[in-house]
Parts: sequence; C-alpha cells; structure tokens
Amino acid sequence: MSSTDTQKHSVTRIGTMVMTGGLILLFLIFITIPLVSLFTRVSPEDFITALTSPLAMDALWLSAVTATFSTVVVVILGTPLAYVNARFSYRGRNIVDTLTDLPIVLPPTVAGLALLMAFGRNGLLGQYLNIFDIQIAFTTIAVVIAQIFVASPFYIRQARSSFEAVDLNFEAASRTLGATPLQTFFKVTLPLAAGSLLSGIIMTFARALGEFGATLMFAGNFQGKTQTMPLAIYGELQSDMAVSIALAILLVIFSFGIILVVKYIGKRESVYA
Amino acid sequence: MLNGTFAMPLRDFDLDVSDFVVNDGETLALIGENGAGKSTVLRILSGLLKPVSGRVVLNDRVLFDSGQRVSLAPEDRQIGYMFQNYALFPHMTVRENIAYGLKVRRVLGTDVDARVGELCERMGVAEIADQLVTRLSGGQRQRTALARALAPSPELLLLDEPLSALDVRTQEQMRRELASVIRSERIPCIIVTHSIVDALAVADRIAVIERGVIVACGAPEEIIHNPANGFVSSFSENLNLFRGKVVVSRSGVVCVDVAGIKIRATTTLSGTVSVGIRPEELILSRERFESSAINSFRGIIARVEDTGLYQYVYVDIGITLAAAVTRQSMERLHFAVGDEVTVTFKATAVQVFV
Amino acid sequence: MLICTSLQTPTKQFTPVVDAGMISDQKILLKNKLAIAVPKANTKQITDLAGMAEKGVVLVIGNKDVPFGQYTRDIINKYQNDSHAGYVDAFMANVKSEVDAVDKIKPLLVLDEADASLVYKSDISKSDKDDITLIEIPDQYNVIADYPYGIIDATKNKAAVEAWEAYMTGPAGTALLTDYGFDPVAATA
Repeated sequence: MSSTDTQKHSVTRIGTMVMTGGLILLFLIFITIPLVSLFTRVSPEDFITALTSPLAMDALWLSAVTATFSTVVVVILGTPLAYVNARFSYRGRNIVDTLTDLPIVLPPTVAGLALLMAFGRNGLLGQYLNIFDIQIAFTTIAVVIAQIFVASPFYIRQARSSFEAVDLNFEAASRTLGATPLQTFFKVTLPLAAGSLLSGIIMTFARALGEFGATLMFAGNFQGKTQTMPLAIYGELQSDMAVSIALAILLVIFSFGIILVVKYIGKRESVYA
Repeated sequence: MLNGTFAMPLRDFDLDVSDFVVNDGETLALIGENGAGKSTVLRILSGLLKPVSGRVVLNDRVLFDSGQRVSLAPEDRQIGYMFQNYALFPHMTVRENIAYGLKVRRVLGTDVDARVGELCERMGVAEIADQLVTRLSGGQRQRTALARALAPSPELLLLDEPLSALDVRTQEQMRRELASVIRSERIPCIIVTHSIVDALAVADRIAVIERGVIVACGAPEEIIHNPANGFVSSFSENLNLFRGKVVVSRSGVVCVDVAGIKIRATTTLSGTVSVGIRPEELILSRERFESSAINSFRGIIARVEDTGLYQYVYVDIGITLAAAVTRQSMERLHFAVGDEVTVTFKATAVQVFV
Repeated sequence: MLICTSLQTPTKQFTPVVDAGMISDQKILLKNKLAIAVPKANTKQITDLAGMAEKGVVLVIGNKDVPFGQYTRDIINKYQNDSHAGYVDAFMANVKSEVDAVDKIKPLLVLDEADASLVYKSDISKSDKDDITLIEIPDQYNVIADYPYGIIDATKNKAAVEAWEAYMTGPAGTALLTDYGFDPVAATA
C-alpha cells in the first residue's frame, strides 16, 4: 500500500466518523428537544403545586396501582402459556401465537370497543354478569382489564423467547437428577430466564402505564376511579396545562428510568451466556 | 443389572436394540460413528425419550414396558446421567450443583451437606466447592458433573462422551480418574464414546452400534481386533491397540507387557495402559536384521487383507500385529500366509495412553 | 364575502369582526341547543331531564373544560333552581365518565352501554338517528347558542352573497339546517 493510499483511507475514515457522528447527533437532538421543552414550560414551584393537586394525586395513585396489578396478572396468566409455546409444538400453536399477538395490532380505541362489546352490560359475556348486578364497564376493574389486554403481548412474546433461550439440556439434567417438571421450572428454567423475563415485565408495565385509548372507551374518564395519568394529562390540556405538563414530565422521567433499568438488567443477564 | 429392549424409528434408520444387558459393577462402552444412535440409547434408558416399543428393567424395577403401558418419568428412574457438555447449572456453585439431586428429593439438610462434602473430597473439587461453575476448567467441570450425577446414589450411570470436551492432556488425566471412580461404584455403567482409546481405558465390555443396531458386543480385545467391525477398522490406527502393563526393568528399560509380549516403549506413564502402533510403522522382513529399531519379534503371517492402497498383513507374534505393506513390496518379497517373518519397529513408534 | 363561524363559541369569534367595523349589519343565521340523547332502546325509559337523575341510570357527559360540558352543568343547575332540590347531586352521581368530545359518547349510546347524555342537537347526524333518539329540553332550562353572520361591507360580489343569503334563509336552506339539527332563525320568524 502506497502512502497516498494510506492517506486516502485516513481521509475517508475521518469523513465516515464525522458523518456518523453527525447523524447520531441529529437524531438525539430530535428526540431530546420535545422532552426538554416539557421541562422548560413549568417552574419548579408550579410543578410541585400541580403534582400535589388532588387530580394529579388521584391519577398517580390510580396509575401506579392498576399498572402494577395488571402486570402481575399478565405474568401469572402469561408465563404458563409462554412456556408451553416455547417447549411444545402442538396443532394450533401458530393460531394461539397469533391470538396472543393480536392486541398489539389493534388500535387501542378499537380494543376498547371490543372490550365494551364483550364485557359491557350488553356485552357477550357482560350481559350475564349484568343479571347478577355485576358491572364492569366504567370501573377500576375495567382499567385493569384494558391494560391487561393491550400489554399482555409484550410479556408473552418476551417470555417465550426467554424460555426458548434456556438450553434444554439443563432441564433434562434436572429431570434425571430427580426433579419433577414443576421443580425444574422453578429451580432451573426460571432463574436462568429471569433477566430476560424481567425486561419483558418492565416493558409490559410501561405499556400498561401509558395505556389511553382502550381505557377511555371501556373504563371511561372519572377522577379517582378510572382517570389514569395519561387520561389526566389529556384531560387537563384544556384547563390546567401546568398539571398536564407536570404529569407528562413525571411520565417521561419514569419511562426513562424504566429503560435504564432494563439496560442494567440486560448486562447482568450476560453472565449466563 | 440393566436389561433393555427397545425400538423406535429415527431420521435415517430404525433403532432396534434387543437384550441390551449391563451387569452390576460392569462398565459397557457403546461406540459407534456420530449419528449411529449412541446418544439415543442413553436418552431412552434415562426416560428422556420414549421408544415406540420395548421393555427396560433395572434391578427388578420396570422402567418402561410398551405392552403394559408403563413409562417412568426420568425423575423416577434413579439413573445418573452425565451429559456431553456436562449441563452444569450456571447459576449455581459447585456445591449447589452437586447437592441438587438431593435437595429435590427433600433430603435433610445435614445429610445433604455430609454427602456433598464426601463427594467433593472424593472428586477433588473441595477447594472450588463454592465457586460458580462458569469459572471452572474443563477437568473441574467434568469432576463436578460426575459428582452431581453420583450424589443421589443412582442405580445406573450413563455417561455421554465424558471426555470429548476436554483438551488432550486433561483427557489423559481424566481417563484414569473416570475409570477408578466408576470402578468403585458397584452399579452398571454405560459410556457412550466415539473414541476407542477411551473405551479401552474404562470398559469391561464394548458394544459397537451401527445405524441403530448393535453389531458386536464383547471383551475389548475381541472387538478391537476383529476387522469385521467396520467402525473399528476404518481407523487404521485402531488395528494395533492393546491393553498392557508398564514394566520397568532394574536397568531402567521401559516395556509394556501385552499378554506376555514385552514391547519397548518410551513413556513416563505407569500401571495399566493402552498401547497403539500404527500399521505403517511396522517393517516386515524374512530375517532379523540389526537396526536402531529396538522392537523386533518373530511371528507367522496369519492373514492378508487387501484394501487397495495398502495390504494389511496380520502377523501373530503371540499377539496379532497388523502391518501395512504396499502391493509392490508384497510381490517383491513373495510374502504369503504361513510364512515366518520378523516384525520390526522403533520404541518411539509405540504410542502409550492411559 | 360572508363570514360563517365555527360551532364552538360563535359569538366570541364574531364580535371582533364587528368591532373592527367590517360588518355593519349583524344577523343570526341559526341557533343550536343541547338535547337529551338516549339509545334507541331507551331501556330506562327516559323522557325528560328528571329521568336522567333516577337511580341506576348510566350517564356520560362532556367534561367541564369543553363548551358542551359547561352547558350541561348550566342546564342541570337551571333545572335544580326551578324547585328541583338535590337534582344536581343525583344527576352527577349517575355520571360514569366525562369526555372531551361527543365522538366518545356516541359509541356508548349506540351500543347501549350508557343510558343518556346531553349533547348538541347538531352532533347527532341523520345516520345516527337510527340508533340514537333525541329528546328536546324546555328552552327555559336550555342553553341556546346563537350563530351570527354578516355580509362584509367591502364585498365585491354583493349580488352573489345576497343570493346565498336568500337561499339559506329561504325554505330550502331552512330545511337543510333543520335536517342537520340546527334551529334556523328564519323558520321561527
């Protein structure tokens, strides 16, 4: 290689670096500007006042409680399904997989309508519950149901690939050592899949927390009962923007924190590679 | 004692094994090419795979009987299984791995500790007992895996290629350890391997499996020196494999005694060993001659086999050695069955393994 | 040129134009009012404001930040002040959801998941009328929004504009506006 070739290569290399850096910077600016502008619109005092208003407190509490509850339910119901789909192939498995993925494809408002048509007082199932005076629509339960419906695919997909990533030989070894399938699951499979499962749980929680369209349609908007943070943010846009922005900022901080946690857990997971 | 009969269709052929017997305290090496069905046999015996038909009985317990619809789950069979890459639980320490089989059977804590401690000492992993298994070397992992399989006192031990994951040096060391550990357990043991040298070192009997069927089963010497065993003879270096004892004379001369024949070798090993001489290293002549090669034996040509490239001349010197000779040389020297010849080879041509 | 204003807060937007002297003759084209909207089935048999406060009725209304939500509150207060003590509390106890626009209320009525709401008459279109019934509210309780219009003095095409005005205030225009739920002024004239 002549020295001119080497020189040409260094120029190209520098050029590539500059361009790459430029594109990265451009994208980062694009993402951060809207987020930063949220922070600039509200003074710290207004922020605190807004956050401590009854409406904000109600929304915060409701969001935290429902999202947690929904996530727990999704994990309990979704784990067996994810494991079975990861380990066994049976007739109709593809259909089951598509079904569990469906809520992601549905626009949230449509999901809300579907839930209404199923569990509302005139719904397919709801009409029978109505006889016993059990109403689901417009209650906090409806909020949880809406969150479970839209957020479950996130966990189930992630859980399935987490379980698939656990070497079958570990489970086989466990069985030959005398462990039942259930013991094997809790002592071997679950610990080995834990890091990956956790990131699925966190994504599910974040989705449940941010759920809006289905909640509005199926659970309605009522402070203290069904007005979650996203609903409150939207609702306050026209009356008390400070509260709206304060809640939005909180949501941003929280989501940022969530993603960082996921990254941290992902690093730990590589121990078992 | 294990007695197994089973059949099931595999991808390219059908697995069909009848009266597969392994006695208490006996080690059977199951050898064959990759894909011949060796590991499948282990998976069937352990309950991880269900054959289409058959009957497997271990010490009067029926593990599987297709006629009676009996099929015990792996956890109910009391069988120890060492997997090819050990499958040590990466999120647990050495101690926790070894204790696993006891913990899941709800053995008392103190009993668990005692048994685990005993095994750690015996297998030489006591010092690393509290390390995560991901930090261990190949040999340490193998010892841990063996200890883990033995901890619940299984009635049958299955080992899948126990040495293949190790480097050559460690292999030699572990071969001996493995042999001695297995000998001290009084249970039947089956080792699956593609290495004849491994089989020679640990087995009391060797079974050869080819395309799902056991084509030969018997004492190691019979199996190895029977050219009918395609798998065995397909590797020419296997043609002259023997078990022997290292003997060092007072003057420091090192020999390996193979059935009375003292073969000079250069080795620092001692005790019972395997020796191998490549057929290409054997020189045949009508008369003895003086040379720098120290091994020189008189014998009778028992058989000649033509494989195209070489002719394999089998000479009985007390044990049967196979020499590779070109067709031209055969013609030139007019060798024939029944002729008395001298077999000559250097001490350095004798490979000695544990 | 003619200015027609949006159907939100008509007078607010219109006054500045008059104040600027661009229009000298301000007239009202139509009025819009609220009405009770119920599902076709109307299982709770609601026929008037009183019925909306009965126990077990499920109401969905506009929130306090949007005009039709404010008017809703005005209406129920007016009703209570006409010797119907406790009406507002009973009414609000039935409210299960407060939304920002009627497009979130209509599906609930169509599916019969809500029993009633207070909406602009004009929000219920002809095609909606198959599934949703409107019940008139007495004017004394209702909030009536005036929709003003005016011809800009400086218009260059006065003849065309006046022809349009004649059309809109004539029988065809009146029928059209009524069809869409408005109360044209010319009809009552």
